[in-house]
Amino acid sequence: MKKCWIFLIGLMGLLTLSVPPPASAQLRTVKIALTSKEVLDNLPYFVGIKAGFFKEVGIDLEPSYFRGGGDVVRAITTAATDLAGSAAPSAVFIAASKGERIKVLSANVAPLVGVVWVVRAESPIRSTKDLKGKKVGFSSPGSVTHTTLEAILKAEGLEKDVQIVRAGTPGENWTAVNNGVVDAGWNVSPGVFNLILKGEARIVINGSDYIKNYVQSSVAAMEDVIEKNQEMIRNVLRARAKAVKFIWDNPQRTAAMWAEELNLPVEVTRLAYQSLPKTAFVVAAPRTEDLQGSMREAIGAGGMKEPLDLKKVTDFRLLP
Amino acid sequence: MEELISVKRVSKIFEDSGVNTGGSVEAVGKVDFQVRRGEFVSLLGPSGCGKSTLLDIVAGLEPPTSGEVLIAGQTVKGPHPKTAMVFQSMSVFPWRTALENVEFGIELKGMEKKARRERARQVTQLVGLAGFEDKYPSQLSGGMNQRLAIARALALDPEILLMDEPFGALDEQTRFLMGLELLRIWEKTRKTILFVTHSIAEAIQLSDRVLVMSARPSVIREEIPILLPRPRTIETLTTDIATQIERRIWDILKVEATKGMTPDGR
Amino acid sequence: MAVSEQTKVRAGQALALLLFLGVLEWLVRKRFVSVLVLSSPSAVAMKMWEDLQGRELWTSLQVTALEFLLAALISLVVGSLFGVVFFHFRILRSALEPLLLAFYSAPTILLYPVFLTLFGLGSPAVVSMAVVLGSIPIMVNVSVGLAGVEPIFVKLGRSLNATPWLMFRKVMLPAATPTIFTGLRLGFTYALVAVIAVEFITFSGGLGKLVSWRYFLFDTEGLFSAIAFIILIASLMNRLLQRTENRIRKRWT
Repeated sequence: MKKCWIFLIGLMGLLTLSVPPPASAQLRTVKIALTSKEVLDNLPYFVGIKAGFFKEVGIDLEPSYFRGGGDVVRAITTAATDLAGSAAPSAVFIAASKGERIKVLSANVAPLVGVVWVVRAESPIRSTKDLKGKKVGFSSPGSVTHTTLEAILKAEGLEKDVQIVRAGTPGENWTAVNNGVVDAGWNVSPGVFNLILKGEARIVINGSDYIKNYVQSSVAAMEDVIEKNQEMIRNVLRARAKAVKFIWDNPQRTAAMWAEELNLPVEVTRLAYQSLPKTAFVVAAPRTEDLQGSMREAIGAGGMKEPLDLKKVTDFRLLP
Repeated sequence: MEELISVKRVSKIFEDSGVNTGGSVEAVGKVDFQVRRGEFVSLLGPSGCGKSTLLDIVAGLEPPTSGEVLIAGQTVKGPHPKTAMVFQSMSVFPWRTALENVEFGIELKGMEKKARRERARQVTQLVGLAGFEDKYPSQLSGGMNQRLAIARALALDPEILLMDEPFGALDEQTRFLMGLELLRIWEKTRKTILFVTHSIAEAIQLSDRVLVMSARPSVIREEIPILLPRPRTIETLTTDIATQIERRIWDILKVEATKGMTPDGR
Repeated sequence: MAVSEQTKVRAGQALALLLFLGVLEWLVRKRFVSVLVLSSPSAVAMKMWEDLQGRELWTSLQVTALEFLLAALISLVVGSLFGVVFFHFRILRSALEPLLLAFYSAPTILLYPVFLTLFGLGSPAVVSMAVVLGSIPIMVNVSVGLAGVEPIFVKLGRSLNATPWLMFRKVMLPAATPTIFTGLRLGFTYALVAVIAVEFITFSGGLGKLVSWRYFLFDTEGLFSAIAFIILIASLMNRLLQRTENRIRKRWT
């Protein structure tokens, strides 16, 4: 008798599972390429996914993480992903200069967000002046950290007195600082606040102090993808904008989501949140002169020879 | 005619060191014999009977478990300068030319270069390899390489040649011809030769005396003088007397060889 | 006209290569493959020509060459020393052999952070990693080669009352040369690969850094040009060593 009931319940369970979900609940998978997880440019995507904003517009967003800005762009030029969600504009422009039909869909200008250089807490280095004759780390050539470091040092008149060293990820940079390979290492919010809270590190350069108008991150896609998926892209940008609004309206919940995604203590993400400038993450069409700044960056890094026609490499029609 | 080599109550027991042997191996039982100056004596016995071990003891490469070996009245404690050895397997260095190989022994003894070269050339000529000095062993036949080994030993101008089945790896015809060569060299240089072999024909072809050895533990079963005239040719070696000697030796060896074929023998 | 077997094989190889390059060229021209990932063979060839005339390639090559030569030399000394020690002290060899084999089979290059910690970013870390990888085959082959000397040669030396030094110099070492040389060939090849790999990972300089740099800046022709030069240099070295080894083996057998 008992066996009979178990069998019936099991059968019912199987039946319910095998029934396909209603058509309207079916989501479209969109693959998006992002830079390494710990970089805060990705925050709107974390929030958007967790709060369900992408699902609302029928999109199941599937992130793939890449080290360094170059591979994020390669992800869309090789059609490995549909979109690039946090691509450095300079990288997009270099790719365009090689003949790739790639376009910036959205970006915004804000002070440089979350890029800092730290020293060990007990280090005698207190300000940028103390960096004279020292070594400072950055991630990789042509990257945001590379070009902004050079710009900062130039602004301080230190470009001849400071040796910049390629040191990799924030983790690798911190190891290099601890081993004396460099004196100051690049790091990012929010992870850096973990070190600060623990009393191990101290910020010596804050990127946003120097770079006030920066196009840090952009959403990009290939021309043919744009043409065939205009509705989808509109929805993605809309959902992202909603996520950004959520971030500003809900500090506590944002900090919690962020902490969960990156496996950090929530105190850390709260601190990181507080350091965010109000214009960060905005989904917009940046001003021409700011985009030209990105072009100059690309040329300066040696990635391309001349500026491109901005109209050919941007497509702001799909912004909400 | 003095006794140049004197082997007195020599025996050899190898202690059990491996996992295969069921205990210690008695390679050589009590052996006594002498070799007079200028003689050509063969140690003849079945395979694995310990004759090579005995030769190694005479050469000073193995210490006897009991007894002693005297060379020119001196007890042998290590390789004696009056002796030089010729081995069975290819002992010629492939990375040296023929001449350089012949030089090897006297090179180790510290002979100066010019004298060395000269001596080596002489001996190379003696063994019939003039013109091949600059060839490498890989370019020479097995027989030629063994001649090099003999030349190397001769270059040291030893009084005694200890030869451990030097022609064992050669085919029958080459073996016979090499035997003739060896006799020619022996007659010219008048060395004393102690020769190990398992070939009856070879022993009869070459020796003044043949010491027939038993299976392990080796002792000398019988000593047989080879009263055949020299030079030893095909004719002299196929006479009735020769056949008789061969028969006699074979009768002794037959018993010993059969012993060697049982699992215990090896 | 009779065409030899070898000519046929060579012609077939050349044809296959041309076909392959032709397909690549077409794929890139027609934009089936992203120009950020692959370059057309013609563009790479042109860039190689440019590189030969420029300075960047030569300065990078100089750095790599110096690091490699230093690593090869040290590997030779360290490897030989340890090899001889292992040969003499068999206990050491049996104890350490499993460890050495582990190094052989695992991606030992991933230990590079150890050297970064010890020496910081730069040539010393590159050279030391390369020495670790390069000395192991030499170590192993020296000890195996010495142990594998024909016993009859040793017996010959003993029969002539050779001193240990003379035995080593005139018997053991020459007899072990083929095996030892194989160890050298392997060791030097590993050392070269390690030098370039660590240069690539740590960005310290030389050809490895050149590759890394060009990859980041989307300079795909430059990337493949550098890679092509690296392959050419590595093959050349390996071929030279292999030919010498073949000559040695021929003489020694």
